[in-house]
Amino acid sequence: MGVQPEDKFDSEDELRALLERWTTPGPSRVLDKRIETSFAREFSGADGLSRLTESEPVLLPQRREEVVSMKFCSKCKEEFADKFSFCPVDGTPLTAVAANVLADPSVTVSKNDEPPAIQAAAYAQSADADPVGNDSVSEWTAAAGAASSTSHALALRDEYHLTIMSDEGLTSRLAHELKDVAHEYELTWPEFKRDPFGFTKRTIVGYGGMLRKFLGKPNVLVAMGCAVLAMIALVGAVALIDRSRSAGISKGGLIGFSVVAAGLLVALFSTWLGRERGAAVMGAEPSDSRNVVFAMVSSFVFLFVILGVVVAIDRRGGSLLAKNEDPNAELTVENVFDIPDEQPTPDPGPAGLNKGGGGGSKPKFERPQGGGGGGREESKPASFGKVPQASLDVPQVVAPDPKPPQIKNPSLPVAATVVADPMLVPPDSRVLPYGDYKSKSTDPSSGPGTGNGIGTGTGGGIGPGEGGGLGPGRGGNMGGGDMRAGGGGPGGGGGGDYSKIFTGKDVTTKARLISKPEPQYTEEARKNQITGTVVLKVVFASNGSVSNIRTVSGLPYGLTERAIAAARMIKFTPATKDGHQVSMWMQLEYNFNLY
Amino acid sequence: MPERTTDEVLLQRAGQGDQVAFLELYDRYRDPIFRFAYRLLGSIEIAEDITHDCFLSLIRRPEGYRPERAALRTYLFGIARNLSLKHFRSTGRETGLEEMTQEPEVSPRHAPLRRLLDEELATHVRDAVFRLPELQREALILFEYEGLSLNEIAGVVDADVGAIKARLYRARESLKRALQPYLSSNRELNSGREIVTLKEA
Repeated sequence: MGVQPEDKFDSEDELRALLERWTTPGPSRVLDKRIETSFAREFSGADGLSRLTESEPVLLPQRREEVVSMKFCSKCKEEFADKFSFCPVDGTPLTAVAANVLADPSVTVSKNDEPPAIQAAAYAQSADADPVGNDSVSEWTAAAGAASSTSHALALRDEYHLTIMSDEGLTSRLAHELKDVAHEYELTWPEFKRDPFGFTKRTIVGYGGMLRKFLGKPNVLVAMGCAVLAMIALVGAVALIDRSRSAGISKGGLIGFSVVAAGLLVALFSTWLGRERGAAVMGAEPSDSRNVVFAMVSSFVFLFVILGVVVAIDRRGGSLLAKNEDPNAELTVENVFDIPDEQPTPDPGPAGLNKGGGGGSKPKFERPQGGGGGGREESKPASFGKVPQASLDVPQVVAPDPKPPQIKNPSLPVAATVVADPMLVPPDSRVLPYGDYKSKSTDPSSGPGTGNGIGTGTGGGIGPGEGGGLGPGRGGNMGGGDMRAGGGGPGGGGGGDYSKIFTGKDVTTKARLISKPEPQYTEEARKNQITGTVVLKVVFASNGSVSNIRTVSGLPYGLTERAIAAARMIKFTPATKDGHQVSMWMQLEYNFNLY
Repeated sequence: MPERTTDEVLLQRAGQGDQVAFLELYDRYRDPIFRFAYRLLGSIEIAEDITHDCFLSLIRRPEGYRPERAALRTYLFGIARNLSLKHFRSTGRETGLEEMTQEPEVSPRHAPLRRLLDEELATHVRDAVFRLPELQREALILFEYEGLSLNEIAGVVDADVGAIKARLYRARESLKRALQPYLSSNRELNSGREIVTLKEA
C-alpha cells in the first residue's frame, strides 16, 4: 500500500519537527577574539612586511628564494646561515650580509655597501622628512607610500628574537649525547686494545690540556676561588652553628658570620643573575663572562660533591659515635650495665617504636630511645602478656612476671612497673598476666634472659634489650638505642568540623530539593529575545537557607537577578555528614528559553 | 531607517583593511557557518576553527568571490564545506559521537522525565543525521537547518538541482526509517510542548 499524500505531508512535517530537536550550541566568544586578532594581524605591520616583500623584493632579499641569505658576526668576522639570529660562537647579534644582494641583478642600487634593509630604513626616514620623494631613489618604488609601515616592519625585525636552535626535549638531547659518546668509544676501542697504556696516557694528556686551557682563560681561576671561598664560608657557618650548642660560641658573632657568608654568595650570583646582555660578571670582561659563570658553576658542583661525601662519612661516623655517647645521661636512672658494642637491629613495630618519628612526655619533638629486657633464665620463650604500668620517674621496684608469686595478704603490695615513658605505654586494663606483647607463646614464662624481667635481654624490662624498658635498646624507655626520653609526637586527628562548606562528594547525603520556584522573564529580556543559561554557584546552608550566591555566567536585562531571586526561594533539606546537617556547594542552572 | 550595506560593499571595505566592515560581515554569517560546520563535524572546536578559517580566507582572497555567480552566503557555505571536507580527509574520520558531549541541555524547568525524553530524542536525531552519507547529510543540513534553497545548495556543493533533490529525498527516507519509533509519538510530545509553551509564555 502506497503512502497517502496526507500521511506523507504529516510525516514530512513530523520529520521536520523531529530534526528541530537537535539544537546546536553557539560559538564561543573566543572565536570572535580570534577572528579580530587574525584580521588585525592580516593588516598589521607584520603582514605589511610580507605584502611589501611580495611587491618589492629588494627590501628584504632574504625572503627571496633565489637569494642565499647569510648573516655576519661583527665580532668573529664569520658568516652564518640566515636562521641564526645570534652568533653560535660568541652570542653576538648577527647582521644581514649585503654581499648576496649585491650579486642579485634585480637590485639596482649597488653602490652602497650597507645591507638593503638598512638602506630601506634610511630611505623610510628620508621619506618621512620629505614626503614629496626623491627621483634619484625612485627604484625604491612605492615604498614612499608605505614608508611608515616599512619602518615599522624593519623595527620589528630589529627586535630581540629568541632563536631556538633545537627544540628537542632534555631527555632526547641527553640520549643523543650519550649515543654520541658511545659511538666515540666504539671508534676508539680498537685503539685502546692495541695500546692501552699509550692510549690512556694520550687521553690524560689531552684532557689535562683541556683543563689547563680552561683554567688559563681570563678570570676563571679568580671566579673559582671566589666560589670556593663563599662555599667554604657557608659550610663553616653551618658547622659553627652545629657546634655552638656545646662550645657556647656567642650567637651574635655566629649570626654575623652567617650573614657575611650568605651575602658573599648573593653578591657572587647577583652579578650573574641580574646581568644585562653583554654586561660583565664580577668585573670580568663581557667576553669572559661565560667562562666566569662556567667556572663558578663547576666549582660549586665540585664542592657539593665533596660536601656530599663528607656528610655521608659524617653520618656513618655519627651513628658509631652515638653508641658511645649518651646525650641524655641525666635521665638514665638505673640498670646501666656493661654495654655491649654489638646490638641487635631493633625490630620494626610498636615495641620500641623505632619506626616512629617522635612521641613522649617532653614538650618538644624528640625521638624516644632506649629499651630494656630481662628474663628469669627459663628454658621456654617469654610468653604473651600485657605491659605493666610505665614510668620514667619512679625507679623500678618489682619487675614484671608472668607468674607472680602468690602472696596471701601482702603487707606492702607493690605493683610491677617498667621504666618507660607512660605516654608511649598507656595503661592496659585487660585481664592478662604480664608478658612480652610481641610473643606468640601462651605458656607462662619469663623467657631465657636474666635480671628478673621478661624476654631474652638483661634487666627488669621486657624484650631483648638491656635495662628496665621495653624492646631492643638500653637503659630503659623504648625506641631502640640508648635511653632518651622522647617528646612531641604527632597529634591525633581533631574532631570533625561540620561548620565548613562541603562539596557533593564529601557529604554523606546530599541536599534534597523540596521546592524550586521558576524565575520569570523580564519584559526587557523578552523584548530583546534574550535566551540562554544563568549558572549560579550557591551554598545550601545547614540552616536551610541559600547563601553565598555567586554568578558563574549570567544574562542581561535582569535575568540573572531573577535567577538569583528564584534561587533564594529554593526550599531544601540540608545535606548531612556523619549525622550532622552541613552546608554544601551547589551549582544551579536556569535556562531561559523563548518558545 | 538606514539602508543595510550590501555584502559586496562590506567585503570590498574589509579587503582594504576596514575592520568594522569585516566584523559586520562576520556578525551576519558567523552563526550559520558555525552551525553548518558543527552539524557536519560534530565538534565545537573544529567548527570554530572552520568558521575562523572560512572568514580569514574571505579577506585573504577577496577576489575569489564573484557576486555575479552567487550570494556571499552561498560562497561562504561553499568555503566552509570545502574546509570541512579537507578536515575529513586530513583526519580520515568523522567526529566520534563521544566528542559530542557539549550538547546544550534541555531546560531544567521541565519535569525530569520530560527532560530525559527530550535529551534522548535529540541524541537519536543527531545520530540519525550523522549516519547519513556525507553528501546527503550536507544537503539535508543546508536545506532543513539553514533554509537554503535548492539552487543555493546546488551552488554550495557544486552539483545540479536534480542531484540535490535526489540526495534530499534519500536523506529524508533514511531519517524516517531511522526515526520511525519517534514519528508517531512525536505528535503527542508536540502537542504537550505547545501547552507548556503557552503556559510559560
